[in-house]
Amino acid sequence: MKLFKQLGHVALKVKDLDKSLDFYVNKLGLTEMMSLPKPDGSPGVWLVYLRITDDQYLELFPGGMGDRAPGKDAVAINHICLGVENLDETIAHMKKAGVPLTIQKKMAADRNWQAWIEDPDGNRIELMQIMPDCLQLEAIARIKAAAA
Amino acid sequence: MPIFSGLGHIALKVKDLDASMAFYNAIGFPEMLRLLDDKGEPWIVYHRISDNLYLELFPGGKDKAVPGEKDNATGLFHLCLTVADADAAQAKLSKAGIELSRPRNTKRGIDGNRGMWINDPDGNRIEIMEMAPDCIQYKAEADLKAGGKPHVLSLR
Repeated sequence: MKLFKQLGHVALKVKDLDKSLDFYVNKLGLTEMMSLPKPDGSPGVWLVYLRITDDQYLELFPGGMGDRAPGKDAVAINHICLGVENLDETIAHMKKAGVPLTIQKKMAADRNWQAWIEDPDGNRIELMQIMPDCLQLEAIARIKAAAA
Repeated sequence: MPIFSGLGHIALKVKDLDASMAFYNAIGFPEMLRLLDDKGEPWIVYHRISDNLYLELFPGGKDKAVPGEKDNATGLFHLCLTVADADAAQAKLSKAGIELSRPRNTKRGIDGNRGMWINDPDGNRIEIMEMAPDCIQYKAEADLKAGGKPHVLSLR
């Protein structure tokens, strides 16, 4: 049996919870699931759960120190990627929602379509439409063939 | 239709590619694909989490550790991987030579779930979680689907 089932959530430390909620809920369309108060009883929110899928969540923890997430060369989590069915439709949605693309749509070396946005703290988010002939799916087919 | 089909990958900028690859191979995410740069050096190494979720390792991280949890740095805070059985997962981690980053509390957390924490070689925090069928996350989701409002819970 595999050690891990899958990635359960990604947690962000955010500078301004209201701004982050506006971005992820109102603009990106994730649903707010619940919020928890601080376990020690001090005032304020400890974390808010947003639903990506039934078993993938985004956790927002307020109280982030510093104005921006680490830059792209720092040793750190570098970016997250959200999968989409149709990147053109997603880009049209972003335009309507007022979310600028930080990198325009392009076909990447892996043969998938991608475009990039940033959240209010500067966390980089890749929007990706996986194509049937991409390198990742080829690699997975190879792994499965070798294991069979 | 929701905008997103789910998380596609998580990308890490790493200081020591060999150490990071050995770690992620050891915890069950095998290398699946490697892209080379114009000098023939690794640009991105992909490890498979599931058929549609990958981990990307980018070498060349600037010589600086990941901010500590207590620093409360703005940015990505931690990742969570789910397991079917927390006890079995702990035994497998121990066998793979992966130490827990803090002593495990074997009781259920305030959310109803069991888990533990490890660090990757760069200090990225990874939570390991056995989701209970009656955990507060699943209850909140069920209510949302039934048309309810987000839950606001008091834990005291």
